[in-house]
Amino acid sequence: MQEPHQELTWRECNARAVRDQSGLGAWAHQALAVAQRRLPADWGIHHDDENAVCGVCGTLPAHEASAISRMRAIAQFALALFVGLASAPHHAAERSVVLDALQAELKRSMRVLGEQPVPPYYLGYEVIQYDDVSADGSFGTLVASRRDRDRYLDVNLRVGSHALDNTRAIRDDNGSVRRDYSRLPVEDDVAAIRAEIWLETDEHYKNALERFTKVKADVNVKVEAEDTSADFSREKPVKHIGETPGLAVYLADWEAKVRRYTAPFAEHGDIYRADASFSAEIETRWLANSEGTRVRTSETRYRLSINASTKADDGMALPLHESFTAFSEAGLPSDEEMLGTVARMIANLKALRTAPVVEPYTGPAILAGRASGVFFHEILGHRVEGHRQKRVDEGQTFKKKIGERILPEGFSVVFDPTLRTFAGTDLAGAYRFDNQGVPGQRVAVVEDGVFRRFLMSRTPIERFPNSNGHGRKQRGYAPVSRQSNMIVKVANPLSRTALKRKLLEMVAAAGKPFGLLFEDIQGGFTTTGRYSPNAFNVNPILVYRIHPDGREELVRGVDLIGTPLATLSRVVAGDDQLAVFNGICGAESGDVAVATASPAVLVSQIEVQKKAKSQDRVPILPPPFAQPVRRPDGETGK
Amino acid sequence: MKPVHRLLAWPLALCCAAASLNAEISAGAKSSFETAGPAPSTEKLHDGVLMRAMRDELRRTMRRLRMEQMESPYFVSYRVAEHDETWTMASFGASEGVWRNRQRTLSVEVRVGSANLDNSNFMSSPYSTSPAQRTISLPLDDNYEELRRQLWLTTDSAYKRALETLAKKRAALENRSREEVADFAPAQPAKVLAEPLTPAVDPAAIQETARRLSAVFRDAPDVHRSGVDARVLTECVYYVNSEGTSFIRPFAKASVESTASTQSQDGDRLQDAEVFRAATWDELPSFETMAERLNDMAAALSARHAAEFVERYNGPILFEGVGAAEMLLQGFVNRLLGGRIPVVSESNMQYLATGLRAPFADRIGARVLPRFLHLRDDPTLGAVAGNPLRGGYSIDDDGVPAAPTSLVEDGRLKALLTTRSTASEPLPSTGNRRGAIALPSNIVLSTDVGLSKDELRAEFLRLVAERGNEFGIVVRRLGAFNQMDELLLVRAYKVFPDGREEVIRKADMVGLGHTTFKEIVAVSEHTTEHTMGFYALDAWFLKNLSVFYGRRAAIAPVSVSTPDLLFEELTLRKPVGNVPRPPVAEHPFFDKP
Repeated sequence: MQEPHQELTWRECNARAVRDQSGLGAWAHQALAVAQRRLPADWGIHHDDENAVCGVCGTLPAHEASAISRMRAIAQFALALFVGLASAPHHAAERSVVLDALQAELKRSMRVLGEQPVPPYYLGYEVIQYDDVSADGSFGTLVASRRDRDRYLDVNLRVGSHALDNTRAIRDDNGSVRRDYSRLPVEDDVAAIRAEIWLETDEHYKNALERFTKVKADVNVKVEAEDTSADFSREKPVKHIGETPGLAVYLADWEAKVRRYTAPFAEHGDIYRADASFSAEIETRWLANSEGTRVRTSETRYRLSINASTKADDGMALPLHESFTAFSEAGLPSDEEMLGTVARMIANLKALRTAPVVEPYTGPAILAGRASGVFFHEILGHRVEGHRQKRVDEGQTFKKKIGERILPEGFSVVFDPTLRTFAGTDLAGAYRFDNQGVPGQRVAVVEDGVFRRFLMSRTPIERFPNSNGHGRKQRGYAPVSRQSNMIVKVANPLSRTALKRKLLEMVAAAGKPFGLLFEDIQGGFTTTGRYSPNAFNVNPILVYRIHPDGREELVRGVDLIGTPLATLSRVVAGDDQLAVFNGICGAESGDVAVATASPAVLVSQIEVQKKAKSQDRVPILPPPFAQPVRRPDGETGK
Repeated sequence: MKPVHRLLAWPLALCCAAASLNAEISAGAKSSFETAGPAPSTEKLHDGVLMRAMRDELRRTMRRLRMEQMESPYFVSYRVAEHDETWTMASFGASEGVWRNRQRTLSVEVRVGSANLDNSNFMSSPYSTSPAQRTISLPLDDNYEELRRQLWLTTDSAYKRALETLAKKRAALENRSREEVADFAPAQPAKVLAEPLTPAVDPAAIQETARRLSAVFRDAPDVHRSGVDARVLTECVYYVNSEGTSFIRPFAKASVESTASTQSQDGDRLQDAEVFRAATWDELPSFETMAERLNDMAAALSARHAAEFVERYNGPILFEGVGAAEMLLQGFVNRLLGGRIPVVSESNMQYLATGLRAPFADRIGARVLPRFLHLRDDPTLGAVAGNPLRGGYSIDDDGVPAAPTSLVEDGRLKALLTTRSTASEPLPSTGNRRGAIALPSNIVLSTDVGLSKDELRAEFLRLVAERGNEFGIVVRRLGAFNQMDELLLVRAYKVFPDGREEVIRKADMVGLGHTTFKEIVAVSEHTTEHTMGFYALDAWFLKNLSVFYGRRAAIAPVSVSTPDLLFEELTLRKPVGNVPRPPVAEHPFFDKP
């Protein structure tokens, strides 16, 4: 049974919210998204684990994404204005009360549980604290702003041995992704923190015992596994106590900015949604495990995004999205740049309303900017995640392709969490240690078009016994191998003009009436399992028809679809303009921040299918305020 | 399988959000008119930016909103709830954070067709009963044009949905009959305007109180998990409808809630809770009083930790104080909410729809309580015997002014609580719409023949002896119903003929039915006034639809004033089910190796 991962469902929800545009404000949308995402945790509704993998959610307002990624215990989308300036910087301390509490309970648990008939062989704790400030605006007004601090605990307890433990996948088990975390006091009180760790550890221990029994039965009853690698790798313990910076953000400034950035949309009665979201967040993590790892790290991220949408007369929702991520406030665009972006979005929305609809088509295309990033993220990125090569229900596209050519000569693909900036843009997928306490490492996955290796967590696979620092997760999930910063490069790039020229040659050679240029996308998803077509779907929002005479015409209404190996084999060339896309990727270990930097690529043949669309008409009455608005019947409403 | 999954998830998400909104909105339905300040000029309130935007868009909608070839709305209402809540959680002496949530929610109700047959009261899928309402969040800024834009777009969408729903409902009725009851009961236009409240809230003080209260459990080695949740809410609901009704209804509440749980030596899970409520933070009991009550709760939990079960018990049970109030609300009042059987789009959903029938709908005039008891619901009541009631309000969410409703007189059922959507002709709505459905407000159970405390106790022991039992049972605190309709006893005691009491670990009360409350044989003359959250699952007709609301969605505060209740015959049973093992390690704070 194939069920999409919840991320898919959620995106569907997201997409619907956009489609059901008629007045569903950003707010409700966000509330729904948050509420929806709460379901697995709080409603006991399980989403099947399986192998459908989502993609990068380009549509997310960054704040929304971060709010969701935090999955607050309460869908509280409003504000805290207790102080104008956020908490003062903390001092970098040699000692950490949280680590002390973790260590004390770690030691005690290993001792007491060690006396049980089936003792744990590994116990790891991760505490994640979010300090954040956010503001959301819509059409020139403030919808919400808030300031929060929350702290959560994740426990990873293993019984058995590295070779065989309770985490092994049970075959033919429609197992569900279990979200499991608990809230910790935000105050550095050892007794209170330990009280919580104690019960969580106990619960994880009992669950581990139960599951280990099932795992052993599975091993005995089923055929021998194809991949006989161990369940957990041995890694060197790490000690690192990083600085914990404070967040210095004037919330009032950002409340003013989100109003300012959305105000221009308010003049247009045919734009039905226009939100800006700002968030600044420090994520501090404390990791301690029974192997001796002690880590404290802190990452600060600023995000700003704008979402706006209109509706064509045929009911099609037409969203546009812009987002920016930076490690410092200064790294975000200036007011002038933002207002320029907004003006461009308004012009594009107007153009999209009247753009022609493309019919299903197959032919050559160029994928540029974010479209290229999401394309590589979906068709390649999710298929080089190591743990997928082990699950028997996974497609394992590249498992036996090590050393084989999968892209044209000159193409290289590297995942590098240690890279913080690319061409002046901060990369969201940067981190120092992954969620298993392994230092993030640069991994060259494709060299000169040849596939070399997988992204690895501490789940070994055949020929790859160790982690390369890509074990990642969202709070509450078990870590699996996930992407970080993906850098796609071409050794001998063409210029954009040359790339387009080459496209037109292919159009002419194939006798096609036009080629397609994908400039921007909303998001995408892919399924990597065996029981459903192993395919991807990228949802473009800015697509141009390139006619044989070179004329570019904005069109709408299609999704880019395909299967991974066929599509990769049709990548012909890339250009020299690498675009960075920062996004949130959702899969079975939750939402994680990722980035791609990739050139525009020419694909000799792609396929597009019709986009699902709302059947709701545009609003019946004209806007209630007085500016000229084009009505479907050509009447100008006042 | 994918589409199924997606389609399932979406309505759930919707409902989840809607439920929480309803919860908040209806929490606000309780009026604090007694705490409202001096009456401001009506014009000033009426002319605020928000009310003006609502009125203007409503006027435009009623004049002009019409889709070609289709009918115009016959009724539109706008309800905006402004909500400002500060809350904190703490455990074992440390804070888990303090948060504030400010939001403005708009609910637009659009009805097309006629009051006799409209787009409401229709079930198009097992997950949707098609409320005529659409809810979104509004900007916090008083920006007239932006408020108008959101009202415009939401009305547009609600109107289109309404037309679609009505068309489907008419199609379904081509082949089916329905109850000949109008979909929407008439109501007189009303205007109730009060000044919004602006109490000062000190988040640091709330946080500190919760933190210190949670430290009480550092002296309770038998308690495994504990927490304190403190919150202060102010709310104001702004309402206009196309019949000329408008209101501004402020509301405030403050609460401190503590929960504690443990496992007995053999693993049995035990829990208890204490809740303190007031209109404002300053009116809550003193810190010392609350701390003492939490200590008592920890002690009660500790006593149960080592106590015995009652394997099975049949015989007299005396409900005292809060236990009586909880029993009355969960066991009886929840059956007095009027409901409707919606028209269904597919006949295979009929069983779900029929589940929405009020169990007492056909028993008006029948005896449901002993002759010496009377029951009424009175949202206008502020206190009984000097003790505050907190379930009241000035006007309900349909815009129907609050009024007392006599539910049971001399033991005979007189009426059910209704909204404009569930009222049955010729009776109008009782004015009990709180959120989406009819809920009780202040419930008062009264009698002319109450016994003194001693007399009631003596009567109880006499019945125990007459029954030939070794002991009787007194109940002072109840938990909630479980999925098998069994009510969990939290604080219950065996009472022996010599008056000695012995705590019971826990027990389930089974076999409660529509006639159980006729078994009351005596009540006390003194009463207990207690306020509690009315949970979605407490409403009998939501049980089938609990998927909408989640188990823990408290819809509204309800107050109960009741005497102690003596039942001649009830059944208790040891809870069934698997018992988890107790924790392997000791509590780290009390673990002294």
